[in-house]
Amino acid sequence: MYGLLLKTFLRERLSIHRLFGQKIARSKVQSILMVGLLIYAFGVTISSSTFLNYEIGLGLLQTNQLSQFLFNIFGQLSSLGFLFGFFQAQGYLFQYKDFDLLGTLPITQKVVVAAKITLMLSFVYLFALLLVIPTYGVWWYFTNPGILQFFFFLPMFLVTPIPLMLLGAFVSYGIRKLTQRWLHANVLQTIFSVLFILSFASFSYFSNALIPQAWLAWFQQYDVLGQWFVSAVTTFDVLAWLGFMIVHLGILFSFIYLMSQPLLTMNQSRTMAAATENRFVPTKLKSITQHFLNKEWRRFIGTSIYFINTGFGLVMLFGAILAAIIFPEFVITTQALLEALSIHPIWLIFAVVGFTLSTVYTPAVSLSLEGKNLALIKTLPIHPWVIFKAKIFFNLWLTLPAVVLTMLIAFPMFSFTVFDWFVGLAMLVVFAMLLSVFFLYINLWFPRFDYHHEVEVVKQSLAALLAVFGGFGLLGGFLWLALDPLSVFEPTLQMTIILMIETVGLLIAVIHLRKNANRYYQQLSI
Amino acid sequence: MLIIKNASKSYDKKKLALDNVSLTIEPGDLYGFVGHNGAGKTTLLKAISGIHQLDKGSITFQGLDVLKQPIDYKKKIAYVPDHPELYEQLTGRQYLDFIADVFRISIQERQQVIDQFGSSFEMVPFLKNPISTYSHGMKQKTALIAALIHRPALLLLDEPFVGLDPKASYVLKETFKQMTNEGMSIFFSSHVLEVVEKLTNKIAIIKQGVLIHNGLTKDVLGKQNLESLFLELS
Repeated sequence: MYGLLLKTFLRERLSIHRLFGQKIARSKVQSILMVGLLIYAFGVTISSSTFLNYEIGLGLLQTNQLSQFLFNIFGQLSSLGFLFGFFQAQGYLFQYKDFDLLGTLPITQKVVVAAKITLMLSFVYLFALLLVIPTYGVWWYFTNPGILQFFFFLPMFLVTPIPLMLLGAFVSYGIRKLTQRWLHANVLQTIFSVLFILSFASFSYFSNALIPQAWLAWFQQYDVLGQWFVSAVTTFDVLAWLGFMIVHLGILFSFIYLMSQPLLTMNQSRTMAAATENRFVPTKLKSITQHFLNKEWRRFIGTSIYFINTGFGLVMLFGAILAAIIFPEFVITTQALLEALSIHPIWLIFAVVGFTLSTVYTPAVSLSLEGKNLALIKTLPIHPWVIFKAKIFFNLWLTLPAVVLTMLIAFPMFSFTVFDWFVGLAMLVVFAMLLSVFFLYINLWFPRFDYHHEVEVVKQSLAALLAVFGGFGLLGGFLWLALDPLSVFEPTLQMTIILMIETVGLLIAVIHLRKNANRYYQQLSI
Repeated sequence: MLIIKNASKSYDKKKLALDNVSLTIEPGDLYGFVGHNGAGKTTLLKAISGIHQLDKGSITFQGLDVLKQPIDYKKKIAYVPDHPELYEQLTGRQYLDFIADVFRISIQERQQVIDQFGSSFEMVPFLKNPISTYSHGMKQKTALIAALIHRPALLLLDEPFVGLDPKASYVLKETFKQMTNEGMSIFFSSHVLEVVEKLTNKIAIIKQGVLIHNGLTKDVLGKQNLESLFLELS
C-alpha cells in the first residue's frame, strides 16, 4: 500500500506538468527558450558551485583536509531538510490538502505518514542534487575513491535530511499553533517565520564569532553523527555507517510510529475558527488598481513562503546597507579594491542591487497565485492591462524604496558627483522596472494555477526559476556590456548608454505588453 | 446498519455544528438529508466518512466504529463530496485504478464497474485524459465511479446532483434505486427537494446542527410536500 500511495503522490506532485506549470510551452520558440533557460539556470548553478568547490579543494588538498567536503555535504543536506520541513509541513504533513480523499480510504495512518514523509524527502533530494553534486564531485575528483565508497555514501545521503526536516516541520507547526487564533494570524505567522529563518541563518553564519571556540571544539568533538558520516565514507567504517543509519532510521520510524495517530486526530479535528476584528471599518471608494495593490500586499505578507522567497533579498539588502553604515572601513577597503581594478563603484552597487532585485520576482508568480480566483477576475469588467499594471506597480512599490535608499547611502560613501548620482539612480530605477515587466512576461508564458500549496508556485515552478536566473542573466548582460565593450568610455557615459539601452528595452516591452495584454490574458486558463 | 449516537461537533468551541444528532440508517435505505446552508449536513457526512472527528458521540456501521476500527469500517463505505478534490495530474483511469488498488479490487471486477458506469455516465472516452482537464460534472462522475468501484455497503454523497447533466442525474437516480434494492444503504444531502421527496424512503432535516425531523419520508411529510414543510420549519 505504501508503494501504491507513494507512486500516486509522486505522479501527482512531481509530474512535469505539476512542476513546470499548466501549459509547459505554447510554441516551439517558447519550448526552445524554456529549454535554453533551464540549461542556463542549472548550468550556472552547478558550474559556479563546482568552480568554487574546486578552488576550496585546492586549499584543502594542501592541508590534507578534504574530508571537510563531506562535513559540508552533511551540513547542506541537514539544512535543506530543515528548510523543506519548515516550509512544506503544513499541507504535506500536518494538515493534508488531500485529507478529504485520503481520510475516507481504508489505508492505515502509518502508511499515509510514511508516504507523505517520503514525498517531502523527494523534494529535498531534488534540490540537494544541485548543491551536493558539485561538492561530492569535487571531493571525488581530488580523492579518487572506489565505487564501494559511493554505495556507503548513497544510503547516508538519503537519510541525512530526516531529523532536521522533522524538526523544521515541528517548528513551523509550533508557530502556526501559537498564532492561529490571533488576529491577523497569517501576518504573524509570516513575521515569526521570517524572524526564525533570519535567526537560523545568522546563527549559522556567525556561529564562529558568537560561540566561544572552546564550545565549538566541544561540539565538534561530540558531533558524532558528522564524524560517523565522514569516517564511514572515507574509511569504510562499517560500525560508523551502521550507527549513522540506525540513528536516522530510528528517528524516522519513531516519528511514524508515535505521530501517526496525533496527525490523524489533527486532520480530523481541523478548526475553521480564527479571531475576527470587530472594529468598524468605513467603506471607501477605491480604484481598481488600489484594490489590486491592497490584495497583493495582503497576499504578500499573509503567505510566509511567498514573503520569505521574494522578500528575503530586500531584507538582506537592508542588512547590507546597515552593515555599510556600521562598518565604514569595509566600504573604504572595497573602494580601494575597485580603484585598483579601475571599476567605478556604481557597477558594484548595480551588481548588488540588481542581484537583490532579481530575487524579488513577485510579478513572475503573482498571476499564478490567483489560482482558481482567476476565473472570477476574468468575469469582471477590468482591462487586463490594469491587472498587469497592478502586478508591476506592486513589485516596484517593494523594490524602488530599497533602490533609492541604497543610492542615498552610497552618495556620501562613494563621493559621487550629483550628475553621476542621478544617472546611476535612473539606471537602477529603470532596471528595476525592466525586471518587473520581464517577470510579468515570465508568468504570462508559464502560468500555473492548479497548485495545492503556494510553495509549488513560489519555489518550485518554472516561472520562479526562470525569473531568478533570467534576472541574473539580464544583470550579467548589462554588467558585461558596461565593463567590457563600454569600458573605453568614461563611467558617466557608460551609465548613460546602459540607461538608454534599458529605457529602449523597457519601452518596447511595455508597448508590446500593453498592445497584447488582452491576447495574453485570454490565453490564461485554469 | 449505520448507527449515529449523540453526535456533537464544534469548530470553534462556541457554536455547535452538530448538536446531539442521533440517526439510524438500515440496509436498503435511500435516505435524503436536507437543511439550510451551514446547517451541518456536510459536517455530519464528513464525520460518518471518517474525515471529521466528533467531539462527543459515536458512529458505527455494521458493528464497526469509525474511530476504533477505521480500516475495516472504511472498506465498507464510500463518500462523494460536493466538490471532489481528485488527484488532478492523474488520468481518470489512473485515478480509478488507484482507488481500486486501495480496495484490492481485481482487474476483472474493476473493469466491469468502470465499463458499466463509465458508459452510463458517458465518461469512457475521457478516462484517458488528465483529471485537470475535466469539468466539474466530469470530476463528479469520476468520483462517483470511484465510489462505486468496491461496491460499498454504505454510500454517502454530498449534493450529488450538482453539476451533473440531466442524463447523468437520471442514471444516478436509477443506480440509487437499483443499489438500495440490492441492500446497499445510501445517505445523501441535497437542496433539490423534489428529488429528495420522490426518490427517498427516509428523510432527515437538520437545522443549526439539530436534527429536527427524521424517519420515513411519508411519515415526515404527512400531507405536505417537502418544500412547504421545509419552508415552514425555517
